[in-house]
Amino acid sequence: MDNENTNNSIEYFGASVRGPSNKSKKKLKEDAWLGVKRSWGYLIVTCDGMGSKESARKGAKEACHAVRDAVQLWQAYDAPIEFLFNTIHLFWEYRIFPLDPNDCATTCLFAYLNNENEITTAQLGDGVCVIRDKNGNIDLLDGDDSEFTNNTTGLGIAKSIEQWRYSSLKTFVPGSAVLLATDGVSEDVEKSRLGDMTYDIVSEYKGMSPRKRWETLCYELRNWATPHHLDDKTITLLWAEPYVMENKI
Amino acid sequence: MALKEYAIPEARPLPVVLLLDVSGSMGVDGKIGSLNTAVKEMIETFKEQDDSQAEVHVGIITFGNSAQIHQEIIPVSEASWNDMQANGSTPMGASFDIARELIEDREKISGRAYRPTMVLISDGQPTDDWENPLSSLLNSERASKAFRFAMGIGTIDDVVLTRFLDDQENRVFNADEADQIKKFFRFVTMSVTSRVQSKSPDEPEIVKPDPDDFF
Repeated sequence: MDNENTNNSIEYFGASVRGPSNKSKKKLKEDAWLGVKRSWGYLIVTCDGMGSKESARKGAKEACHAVRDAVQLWQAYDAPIEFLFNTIHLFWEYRIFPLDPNDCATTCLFAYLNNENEITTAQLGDGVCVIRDKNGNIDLLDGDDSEFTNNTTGLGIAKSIEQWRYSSLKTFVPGSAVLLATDGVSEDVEKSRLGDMTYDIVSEYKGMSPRKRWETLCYELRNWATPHHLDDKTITLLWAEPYVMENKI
Repeated sequence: MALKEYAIPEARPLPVVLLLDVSGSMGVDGKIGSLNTAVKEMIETFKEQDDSQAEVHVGIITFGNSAQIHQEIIPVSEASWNDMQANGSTPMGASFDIARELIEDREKISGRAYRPTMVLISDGQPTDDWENPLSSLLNSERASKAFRFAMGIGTIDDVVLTRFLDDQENRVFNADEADQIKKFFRFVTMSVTSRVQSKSPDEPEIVKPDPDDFF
């Protein structure tokens, strides 16, 4: 098949937990994540429904599916990335209809690895996308730190696609990894340490079974070390095996 | 465990920035004494909070003769109190510039902080240009998102203080006597502590204390 996925050594996983704030309010988790393997590549998506919005949970879940559908369409054409962002907004509004987009507002982060080993990361709103290449070089997308915590843009808020940030790596070869995290994680980790954190998580978790990975990451996110942490927390990772150890910087 | 060593072991900060009039007129009728006592009590109350979801950071800007930082913004647990002295004119406009620079400084107030609270107290009209500095403060990216409180002491014209609040829900509080400064600060203290005890310190539905309970 011409369009067959040839990235046989790619792995991905993720986990998402409810934070103490939603727990105390007896609300369900408003973060969501998705990981898929398709003939057209690999995709991980991480979304953080905005807590002050009444349908934030649905907004985040539907955003994950909207990204998947939009990437599937986009990768089939030689279209600019703006086409992808516009399609995500369109598909997301279709999925949440008839709800008001503002009531479903959510951040949206994703990483798409195509069959040519080129990875594209993109982000609308806060949270962080980390690409760590096999040599330990870091490419970071993050939210707007001119703001305060929990003040951000997202689907349902952004008035144009210009608020999306994106990056790409053309050689996602063995030893490379990408991490997506919602602000419940990213705002409690120094930016300068995100590359090492990516490396350490992959190194520690890659030998585990999928179930053990999920259980362990949930446990770690629930037992987050920052005092009085409140937010839901989600981390998703994708990496290329073999993940070589000697390049940690 | 990979993650434990990466999470910052400090609660997110909740900044409180005070802009306090220490001009010569504050030295009359015990006002400066009441202000010193009120701020000191506020800091002590913040220190005593042991069920906080955030760590209060306090910074104090004074304007009397000149505008200056009386106390850099630091965690309240590290704050010690030095009494302020009343002296000189009322350069409130310059204090707005200092407040804007402080709140916009990502080194002093990080992006993981909750929205700041700003408190303005004055017993007189500004003696410098205040309109442009106040507009800059209210239009700046981060300071515009601060919760704001204001108190006018004596027969002050409320125009500046009302502009400072910029249509926020709070009204300008007025004090006819020095004792009401303490009551105002107890109200501000209660408002801040209700936020730091909340599971959602930045959300508007926080139960706010009723000002009438304090006056």
